[in-house]
Amino acid sequence: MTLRLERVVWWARQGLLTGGAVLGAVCILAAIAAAAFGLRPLVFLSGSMSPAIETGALGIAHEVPASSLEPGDVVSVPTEGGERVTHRIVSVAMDGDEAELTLRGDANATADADTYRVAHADRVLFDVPLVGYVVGWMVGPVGLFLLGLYAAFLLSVILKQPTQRASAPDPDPTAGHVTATALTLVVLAAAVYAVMPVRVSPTLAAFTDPVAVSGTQLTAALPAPANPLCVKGNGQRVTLSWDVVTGVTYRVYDDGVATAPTAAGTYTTANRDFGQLWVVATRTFSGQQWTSADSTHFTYDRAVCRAA
Amino acid sequence: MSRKLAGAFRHLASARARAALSLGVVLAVGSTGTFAYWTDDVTVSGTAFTAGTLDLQVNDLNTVSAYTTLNLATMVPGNSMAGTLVIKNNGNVPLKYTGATAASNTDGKNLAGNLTARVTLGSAGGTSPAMTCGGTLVAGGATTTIGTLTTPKRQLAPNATETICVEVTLPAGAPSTVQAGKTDVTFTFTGTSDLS
Repeated sequence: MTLRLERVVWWARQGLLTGGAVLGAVCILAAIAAAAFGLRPLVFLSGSMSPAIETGALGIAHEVPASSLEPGDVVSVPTEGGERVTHRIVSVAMDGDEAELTLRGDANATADADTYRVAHADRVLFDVPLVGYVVGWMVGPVGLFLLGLYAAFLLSVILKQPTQRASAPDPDPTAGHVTATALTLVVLAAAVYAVMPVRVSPTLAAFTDPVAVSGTQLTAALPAPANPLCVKGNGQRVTLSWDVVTGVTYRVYDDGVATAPTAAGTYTTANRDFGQLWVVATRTFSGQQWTSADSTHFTYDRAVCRAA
Repeated sequence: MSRKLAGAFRHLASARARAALSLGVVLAVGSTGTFAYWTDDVTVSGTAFTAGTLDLQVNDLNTVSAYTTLNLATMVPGNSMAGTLVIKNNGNVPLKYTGATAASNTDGKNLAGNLTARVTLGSAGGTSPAMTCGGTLVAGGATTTIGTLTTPKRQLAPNATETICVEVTLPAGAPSTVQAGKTDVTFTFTGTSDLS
């Protein structure tokens, strides 16, 4: 029983070491390539670039100068809040070496509210779906804890005193130790040199949702005199009245002829057979005269008034 | 020669060597792990993936096409109109929203360019045509023309609402050339997912 358990542990240890070595080599090569070609990994935290790039994807971006940006490119740029947004370019306005970018997420109905002013931007070359979730989990609390355990296990393997094996005598017992130490140093150096400047950046492929509020209409006009009323007066006279507003001057048009301006709210015609009658309001704002539309036009005929 | 190669391979295949190579994963992830802390003002542990929905609403609608509270057919210098709008985060993720104004000038009389606007957190008071917004000023002032009025980003938690008041004024010094000018005013509120 104990023998079988030992075998399981041995196989697990071998699998962990071999798999780890392959993954580690890939990581180191990837980090060196990233540093050499200026690549930046991006983890997509949201899905406004879907269906092109879904939430949880890991994108690889490459920094390019603003002048080589074109509409249709997917770029990652910093926002004013120090975050990072990755959207498709709608338009580019060059200003010297800098570009004013208007971006829109593929899943968004409108462009981003802000434009982005950049001298260079990270253009997304390609993305791998779901890998971002793995990276996100690995740098989370649980992932980092497991990683720490794994690192401790590796260090214990490296630092363990070499055991004398009776069955297969090593031609040079120190050789494995030397190789391991050398490799550790190489890995550390490569990590410090190559990995340090590369950061996986979380990127907001932020959603936008606009709501338009329309229906508001304003018209600049002085209100016409309110409630105009035309009634029979003495003889063949008629009287026009309207509501008086403080500060407003009124001018009555009697049979097409303008009468003198008045602040009063009534006007009585001369003793006349027939004619036409209306009133307009005028008011002065900051030395400039505003004139209202005509009030209702009335016709009068032998003291009988009716709206025209 | 082949003996040497075999020896080198055995060294590379030794547990120590493999363990050393495996450290590459730890170091790569360890260093990339710094990304979660790269903003000094926000502490983020791990990453927050968002599978949520973003839905900004105004007056419980996704598009408000008949907001007539501010309408005034006879506006003279000194008149102001005010009305409230309820901004709501109807999604399940936090969002930030901004507001922008626009006003048409199809008749060329430039009433739009003479109007000023303000936005406050408060309620509308007074009666037409002398209504004003009370409360804290969010954006605009006495001379902010409509097309240039944009509110700073305001944060809204999921299901949270905020009532804002918009006020439009034709200043006392407006020229008489705007007479008979007509303008359609549009307010656009844009919500952006806020993951910080």
